[in-house]
Amino acid sequence: MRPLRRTGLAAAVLTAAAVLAACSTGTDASTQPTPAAAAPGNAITIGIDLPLSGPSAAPAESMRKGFELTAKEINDAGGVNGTPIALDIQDDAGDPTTGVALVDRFVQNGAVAIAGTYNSPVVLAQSDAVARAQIPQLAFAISSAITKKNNPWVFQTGPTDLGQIDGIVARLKSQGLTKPALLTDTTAFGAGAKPVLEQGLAAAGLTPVLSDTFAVDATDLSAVLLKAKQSGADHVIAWTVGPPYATLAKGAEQVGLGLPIVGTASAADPAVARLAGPAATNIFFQDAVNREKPQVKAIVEKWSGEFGGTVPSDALSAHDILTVIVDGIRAVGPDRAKLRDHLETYRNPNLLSGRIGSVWEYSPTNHVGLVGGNLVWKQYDNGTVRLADGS
Amino acid sequence: MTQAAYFVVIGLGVGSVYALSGLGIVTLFAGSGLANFAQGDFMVLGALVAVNVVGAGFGYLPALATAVVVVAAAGLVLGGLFTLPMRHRRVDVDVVIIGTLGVATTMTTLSGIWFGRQPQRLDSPLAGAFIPIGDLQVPAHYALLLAGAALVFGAVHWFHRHTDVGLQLRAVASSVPAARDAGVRVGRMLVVAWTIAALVGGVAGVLVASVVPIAPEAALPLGVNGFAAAIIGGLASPAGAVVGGLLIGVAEALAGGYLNDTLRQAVAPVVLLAVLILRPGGLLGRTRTVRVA
Repeated sequence: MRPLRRTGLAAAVLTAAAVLAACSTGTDASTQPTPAAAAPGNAITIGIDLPLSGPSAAPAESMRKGFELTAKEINDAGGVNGTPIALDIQDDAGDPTTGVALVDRFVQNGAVAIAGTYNSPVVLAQSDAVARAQIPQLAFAISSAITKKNNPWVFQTGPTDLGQIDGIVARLKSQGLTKPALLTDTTAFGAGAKPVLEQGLAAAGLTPVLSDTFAVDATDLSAVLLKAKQSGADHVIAWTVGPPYATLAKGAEQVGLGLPIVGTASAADPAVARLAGPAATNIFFQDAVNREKPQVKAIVEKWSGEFGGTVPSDALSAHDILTVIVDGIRAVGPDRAKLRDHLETYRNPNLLSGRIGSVWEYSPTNHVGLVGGNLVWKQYDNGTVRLADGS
Repeated sequence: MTQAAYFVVIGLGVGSVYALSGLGIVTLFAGSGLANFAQGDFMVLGALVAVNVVGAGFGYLPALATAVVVVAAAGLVLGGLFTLPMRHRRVDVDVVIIGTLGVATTMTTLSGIWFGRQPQRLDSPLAGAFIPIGDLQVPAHYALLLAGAALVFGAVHWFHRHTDVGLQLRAVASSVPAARDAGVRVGRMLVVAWTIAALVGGVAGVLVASVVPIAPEAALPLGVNGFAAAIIGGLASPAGAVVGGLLIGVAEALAGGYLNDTLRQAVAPVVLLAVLILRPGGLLGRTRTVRVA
C-alpha cells in the first residue's frame, strides 16, 4: 500500500473513530457495571442516566460528581450490607431516543435501579420502557406530566413544576406582587412548563401582563426584558435552566429593569453568579437545599475541595437520590420489584434537600419525594447567594 | 427612536460575534477551498485557554496572546493532518470537509475533558463600562467586538491581498492544479491556511468570551452562526462575512425587539434562504453564470 493511500485510509479511520466516539453514549465513568444481575459477593449495579453532553451538560456534570463521591463514601463505609455498589454512568445527551436505549442497557447490565435523568422529555420517553423492564427509576426531572403518567416504577425527587409554582404563588402573595411578566425558554423544558405556569397563576387569580419566550443560547436578552419593563409588570417570572439566568441578569442591567426576577430551582446553578456577577442581584429562586442544615454543612465541608469552592445544589441532590436507592437496597436487597415496593413506604427526614424539618416521603399515591413548600427562597446579592427575606 | 438605535447597536455587537466566527470560516475557505466545521471549536479553545490564563492571575493581553498561540498550534497540527491525504487530490475535498465534522466532535469532547463543562465568561477589559442610549445602556465590550471584527477583517484582507503567501493561498483556493503548475507548494499553503484560520478563531474566541457563556457545547452554535454569516456574505469574501454577520445581528435584534424571540430565531435561516435564492454567491461573493443547455 502506498504511503499516501495509507495516510488517507488512516485519516478516514481516525474520523470514523472520532465520530463513533462522539456518538457513543458511554462516558469515562470511573466505575464499571457488573455484567449480570447483582449477586452476593458482586457489586450491586445502579444505572446513572445523565445528559453529560448537550445543553444540560454542566449541571449534569455536578450531579455525576455528586453520585461518584456518594458512592465512594458508601463503599468506603462497607458498601450495602457488605456488598459494594457500582455506578454505570451513561450520557443520554438530553436525547429521548438515547434515553430509551439506555434503559435497555441498564436492564441488560443488571442494574437494580436507575437514577436520573435530568430532562423531563427524556424521562417521559423512557416511561414505557421502564414499566416494561420493571426497574425502579428515581428521576430528577421536574415536569408534572411525569407525575400524571402514574407509572408505578417512576419516582420523582421533587418538587415538580407544580410544587415550585405553589411556592412562587405563595411568595408573590406575601410580597404583594400581582402583575407577572411570564418569560419561558423555547426548549422543551420551557415550552412544557408554560401552560402549567399559566394555569397555576390563573388558579391563584394572577394574569400575566406579558407572556413571551426567549432562546437559551441568545447572546443578548435585553429586548425581551425591555418588553417586560414596558408591560407594567411588577415582577418577572423566568422559566429556564441555569446559565440563561446570567444572560437575563445582564439584559436586566442594560435596560434598567428594576424588577425582581423569579426563577426556577435551577437558578441556583453556581454558573449564574460566575457569569453574571453583581448583575444577578434581584434574581430570586427556590433552592432544594438549605445550606443552614447541619447535614448540608457537614457534607459541603467535606466536598468543597472537590468542587473548588461552592458545592452545587445538583451535586447534593445526587447525594440524596443515591442515598434513597441505597437505603432501599439495604432494607430489601438488590431486587427491583421489592425495591419499588419499599420506595412506596420510604420516609426520610434527614436528607440534604428541603427546608429544615422537611421530610422526603413516598406513598402508593405519591411518587414525588419532596412536595411543594419544602424549598428555600434565596436571592443573588452582589454575586453571592443569600436567603431571601421572608424565606 | 432611542429604542430603535439601542436595538441597532445591540445588533451590531451581536453581529460582530457572528462576523468574527464567519471570518475564520472564510479565511480557510479562501485559502484552501475547505469549509471547516471545527471553526467554532477553535473559538471555544481560544476562549477557554484565555479564561484559564486569567484565572492563573495574568491579564487580558497575556491571555489573548497565549490563546492565539495555543489555537494557532492546534491549527498547524490539524492542517498537517488534513493536508497529507489532500495532496495530489488522493482524497476528495468533500471527504476532508466531512472530516472536519469529526474534528469538531473530537475537539468538543476533549475541551470537556480538559476544561470541564461548566460555562465560563472572560472579564472584559471594559467590564462595567456602558454606552448610554437614552435610559438604556449597551455594554462597552460590544464596541470592542466591533473593533475586533474590523481589525481581524483588515488583517486577513491585507494578508490575502498584499503578501506573496496570501497570493499563493488564493491561487490554491482557485485551482490546485493551476497553482501547482505555477510552482505553489500546495501542501504548505494548506497548512498555512489552517493555521491562519485557527489564529483568527483564537482571537475571535477571546473577544466573544466576554459576552457569550463559553462551554465546549458553545462551539456548535458559534460555528453555525459563522457559517450563516459567511454564506450570506459570500463564502470566499472576508468583507462578506463581516457584512453577513452584522446584517444577521441587526435583523435579529430588531425582530427580537419589535416582534418576538421566536421570530428572532427565524431571522438567520430566512435571510440565508433569501440570499441563496436571489444571489447564490452571497452578497459580496462572485456569481458565475454557466450555460446548462
